[in-house]
Amino acid sequence: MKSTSQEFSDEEVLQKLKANDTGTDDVIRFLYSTHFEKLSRYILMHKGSLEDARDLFQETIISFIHLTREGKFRRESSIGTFLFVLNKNLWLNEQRKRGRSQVREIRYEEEQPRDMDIGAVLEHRETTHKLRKIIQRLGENCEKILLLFYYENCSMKDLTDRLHYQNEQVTRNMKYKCLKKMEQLVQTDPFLFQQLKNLLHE
Amino acid sequence: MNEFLPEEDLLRYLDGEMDAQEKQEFERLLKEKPLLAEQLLNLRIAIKAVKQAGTLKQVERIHQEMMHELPPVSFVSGRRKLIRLSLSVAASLFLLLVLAGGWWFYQLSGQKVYNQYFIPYTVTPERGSDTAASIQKLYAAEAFLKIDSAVKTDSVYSSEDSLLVALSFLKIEKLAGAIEWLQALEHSPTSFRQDAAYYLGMAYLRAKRYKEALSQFEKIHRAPRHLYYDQVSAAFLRKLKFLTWK
Repeated sequence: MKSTSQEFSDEEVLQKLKANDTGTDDVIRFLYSTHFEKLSRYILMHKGSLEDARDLFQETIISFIHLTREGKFRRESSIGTFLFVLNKNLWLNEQRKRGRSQVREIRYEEEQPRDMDIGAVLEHRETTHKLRKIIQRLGENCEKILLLFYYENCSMKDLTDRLHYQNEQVTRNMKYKCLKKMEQLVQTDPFLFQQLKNLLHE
Repeated sequence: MNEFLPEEDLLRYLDGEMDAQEKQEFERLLKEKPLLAEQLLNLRIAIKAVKQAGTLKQVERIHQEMMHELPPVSFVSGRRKLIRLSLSVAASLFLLLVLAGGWWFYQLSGQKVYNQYFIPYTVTPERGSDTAASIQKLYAAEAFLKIDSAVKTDSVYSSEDSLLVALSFLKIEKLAGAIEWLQALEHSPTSFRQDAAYYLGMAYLRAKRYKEALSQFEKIHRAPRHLYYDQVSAAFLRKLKFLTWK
């Protein structure tokens, strides 16, 4: 278990999340240590279970990272406030989906940060759900190659060593095949394809 | 691979593996071949999907770690708080009642019940003989010891005198004597039988013979026409029952 007692200012959190360097894990752990309890209490206070609170917090962090990387969090509030409102809105939406009568006419937080785009958040959430399914279909090996290269920025040489391929050309071919597979899978879902396309142009 | 769509070049371009000249040449080609540009876009979208999935996987991994590491979140809802508070109050009240009941039971004694429920007998000459006898005069003067001295076992007494002798014995704590006289009077055909029944119960109570006292008073309680019916309340019987447990 990799525990962290490191503390980060809001500025450092944003810098590291945007850079997606080796310190990102510690920043995410810091967000969990600092905000999980407070946000979970809100869910528990509003008829959610502990499982709901955990799932929602994970969704909140994923959305927050995406919004930060896309420049949609413009620091018009503190990270704590933004996460709280994000978590709250995701829970309201979840309750609406579950058909809780008292929230049928959903009313999102009135005094929410101005940079909180609920529509974008909910679309992100939908994209995340669809991506989960696509990754499952991609296969473990392809997932590993693509994530190491495109997310963790491993070099072709590192990739070859870590995945025990014969040489870099074999790794390159394999990566290409996997990327094509990902391309095909994304194209099977028009909503996901459009969402990702929109994100590219933002 | 389609000869018009150099897919490997597409990937080299995307991965930043082309030198400046190659890149320039490829970008020119992109402008000329819309299909190639579309193919590039599709690959870019696939890479965007990988990056989004990367965030997802990273958070999921850390989430698993942190769920083991963070202390459990405990929360008591307002409703549960209210239930807990109500239960606490109820439990406190129950405990208080048990303690009060225990204290009451501890304090309960035959002497106290006797003093609380004993009805003093008033001499009524007209109910017995026409002339107020000496025993009645002594009883009225509360000279109970004198009655004790005056009583002779071989003499015959009127029913009321017998009752007064028994009550005098009760007053001076000659309980066995009082019970003997009252038992005899209760079973005799006189108008003082009901007085005898009541005071016999009282004598049993004073002698701490609680079960016999309870039985005696239950008989009276079951007979609404009994002269002492109103004196034997349910509360009185309840206290006697508790005394039988002591």
